[in-house]
Amino acid sequence: MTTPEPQMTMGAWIFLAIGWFAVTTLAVWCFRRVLRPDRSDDDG
Amino acid sequence: MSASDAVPALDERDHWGSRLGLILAMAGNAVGLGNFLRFPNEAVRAGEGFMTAYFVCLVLLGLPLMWMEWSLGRRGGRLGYSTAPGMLQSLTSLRAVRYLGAIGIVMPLLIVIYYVYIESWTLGYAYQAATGELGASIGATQAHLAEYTGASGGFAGHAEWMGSTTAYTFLGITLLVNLFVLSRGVMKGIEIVAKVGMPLLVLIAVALTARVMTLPDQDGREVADGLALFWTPNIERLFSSGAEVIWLAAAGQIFFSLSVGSGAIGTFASYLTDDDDVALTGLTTVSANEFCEVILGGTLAIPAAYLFFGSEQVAEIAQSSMALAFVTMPDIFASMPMLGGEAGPASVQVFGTMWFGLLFVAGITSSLALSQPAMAFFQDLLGISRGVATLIVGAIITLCVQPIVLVPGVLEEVDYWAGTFGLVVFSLVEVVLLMWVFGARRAWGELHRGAEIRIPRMFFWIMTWVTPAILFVMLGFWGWNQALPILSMERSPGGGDYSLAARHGAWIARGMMMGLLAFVVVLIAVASKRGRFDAVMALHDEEDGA
Repeated sequence: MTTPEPQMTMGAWIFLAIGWFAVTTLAVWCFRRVLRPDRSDDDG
Repeated sequence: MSASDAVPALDERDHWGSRLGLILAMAGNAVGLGNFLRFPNEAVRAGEGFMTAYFVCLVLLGLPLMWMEWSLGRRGGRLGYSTAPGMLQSLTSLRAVRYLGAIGIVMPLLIVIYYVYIESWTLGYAYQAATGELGASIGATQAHLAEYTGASGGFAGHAEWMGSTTAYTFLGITLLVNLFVLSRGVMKGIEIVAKVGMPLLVLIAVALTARVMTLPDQDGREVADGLALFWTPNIERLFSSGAEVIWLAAAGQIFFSLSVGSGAIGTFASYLTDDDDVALTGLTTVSANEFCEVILGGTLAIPAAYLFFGSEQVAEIAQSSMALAFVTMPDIFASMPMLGGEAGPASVQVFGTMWFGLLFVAGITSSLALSQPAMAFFQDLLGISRGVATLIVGAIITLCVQPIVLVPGVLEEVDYWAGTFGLVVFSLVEVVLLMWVFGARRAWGELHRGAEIRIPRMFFWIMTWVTPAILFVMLGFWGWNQALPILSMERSPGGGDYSLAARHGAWIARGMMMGLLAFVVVLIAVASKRGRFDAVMALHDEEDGA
């Protein structure tokens, strides 16, 4: 018996899009806040 | 003696040069071989529904434990302690607690011992890919790996594991590079490597991912469909019988990937100043790790393997991270055309160098972080200079890596107890002491000291009740189902039988682990006699008096 080949369904694409968007947005937001130029304690 | 008398000033100890350096070093600690090898393999093995469980575990386990370790580390640093014995002792006046901290020294050291060996393979393979030697082995990559490691019968069998000259040469180079960086200290060593290595790692990973996702169809298969193997949100599977396999895989991956429960995060956080933020910085570390894992790590190896081999073979490939990295990927590169070029040995040269270079950078930033607790332990608690501490750590790794290279079964046994089981145990120790003994409200206040973001209140309840409850359930499940057969070697942690050779290896590994643990416990007792915990005990006395 052969395993059916997987297929990206609409649900999988939506889930992937939400996951990628959430992860990327969080990373960009965090790094932007951490590296803000007006921070006064950047030198550790 | 007052508490402040014995607290070394921060400028006398190691410290970070910049906040970006700290975040990149923390991200480097988290982003390792687990992101690019373990994550896709676990995801495929668990199958549909895995990503849903993964995100739930990230919120309920990963994030809370990350914040707790940052808070605990910074608190320990404030009192002059960079390692678990002092940090845990800072939470309670109960003297026995400092000895529990031995786990937070031994476990990362044990992980480093085998991690450095695998890291040295990635360096050796990167070199062989660059020189064209790897390209010449296409069609016989399994045999090439066996020849490289000196294991007869291939990696999966490794019935006679001998350690080839090539493997030893690159192991020596990798170890020396690690020790050199450690000897330079946190700011001039680890931080510089992280600042160069992390952007380089992301650049290579993005380039490789872009190439994989733009590959043409093979035998009617689209590369994107490989993502369906674990991105299909099959919620029903998460509540059906046998769902615990998916949940345990997701939780285990969160632990390994974020390096929570290893003791390394606390040590890095101890080099912060008292009012440095840990809330936003901890979240940033998690976000960097998740970007590298979910987006880059998840889109590289498995979709490529699916495209060229189909789903049935991918399921077999996913049984071993090592086979995926060192056997399957070179085969894939040989069939992967370069942009505007042909597939063949030249594409192995280019993509192979990038892939193994990527793994080496990911590996070294993690091995440096995992070595630091032992370094800090010798420096801070025993008053040994950094140079001598480097020599001691180097000697321990050199000695203990020998059985891993030479005896089959040792690596797998150490990986299970230190790299999987130990992370859960030490996380539980930390969370119970911090949230229940030290007190949830005080811990919450500690986390928000100097915080640049306000953490949602729901995390207070998650950290106090949900995270410890999940850890107890995980350990309870282990105790009920696996403890006896695994401890008695009736069944291997992977589910199969222990072979006779693996049984010997497992006993050697267990002896080595217990020996190291006993060694560190004795050293903690020596440090106690020398009054290294007097500062924190005086603090408890002052608090009790008040």
